[in-house]
Amino acid sequence: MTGTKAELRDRIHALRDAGYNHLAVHIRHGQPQMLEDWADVFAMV
Amino acid sequence: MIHSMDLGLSVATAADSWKVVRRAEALGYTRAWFYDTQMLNADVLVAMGAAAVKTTKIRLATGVLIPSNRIAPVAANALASLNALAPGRIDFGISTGFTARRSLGLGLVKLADMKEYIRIVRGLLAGETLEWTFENERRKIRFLNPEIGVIKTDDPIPLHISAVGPKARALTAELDAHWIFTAGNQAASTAAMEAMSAARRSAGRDPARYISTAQVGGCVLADGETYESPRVQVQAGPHATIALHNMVEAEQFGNFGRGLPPILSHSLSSTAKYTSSTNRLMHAIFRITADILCSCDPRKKRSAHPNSSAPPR
Repeated sequence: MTGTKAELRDRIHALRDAGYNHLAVHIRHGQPQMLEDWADVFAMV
Repeated sequence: MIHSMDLGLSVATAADSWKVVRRAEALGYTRAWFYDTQMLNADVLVAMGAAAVKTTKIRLATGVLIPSNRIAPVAANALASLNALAPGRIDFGISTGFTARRSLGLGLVKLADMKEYIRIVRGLLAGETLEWTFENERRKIRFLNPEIGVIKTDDPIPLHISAVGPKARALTAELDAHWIFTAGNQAASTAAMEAMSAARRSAGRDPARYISTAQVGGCVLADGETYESPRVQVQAGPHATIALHNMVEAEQFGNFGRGLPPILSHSLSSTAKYTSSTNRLMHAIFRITADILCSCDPRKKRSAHPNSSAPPR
């Protein structure tokens, strides 16, 4: 699930609309900045 | 119908995963899932223990615990111990095992065995005296002194089952458990949710009562960043190994349904000339790995890597 923030926002919307109510994003070992990246996307949802 | 959704994280467990989990907590993440992949990562329960004492709000979940990695009474004790450190913040995620088992050369745990394992764990956490079969004998067991406070069993520890197929979904519904699904393709994710909801209704349960977790992996592209970026390949590329594992081991362990994305499907077309299934498979792996490492669009980049055209015969 890779894309721009807008693309990922739309994909998360689709998952939510399908009925998922918790999203668990994998944070790659050694890549803690992924936390901020995904939090920014989720703030758009 | 619009549902609310909250954000969690999954980590390939490191002994010091608490550092990233504590940062996640500060950013508003609500749950951290720790892999139980003993041949690749740090111990899930040790890492969760550290996170339990280093955080205050975020929920901590085995994500997912593999039954064969420890006997059920030990798992129940570990969950109750974590619950003493982080009361009411522990989740019990479980499944039949993919990476943890295959890295030992093993297939999935049988669903019936996982069901029995869950019965023991849940029963012990509920303070019950249970009959448990171990070393070919039926024994009665229970936690002998939970009242002294070395563990904590009075906060609920919700059960989440990672379920892909219809039998696992039916078991998830039967056991009144929350559900985890590795969501890649949107259509497949939607279909899986519909199937899970149908299974719950068949079991007489309301699907709206449950947590349905979509586990995802990937990379958030920066402005103007392409898939060729080293950062993107580091963060998103390793997920391709799941498809490769599935291809390599499908004959031995069965196909668990993680195929190649359409952009790489042509990588398999050049394998047809190899008559041996082993050679065909080796070529496919070689071809796809090269394509993944070279580019998101293998049609563009193949010529830049001449060595990748020499398959093992």
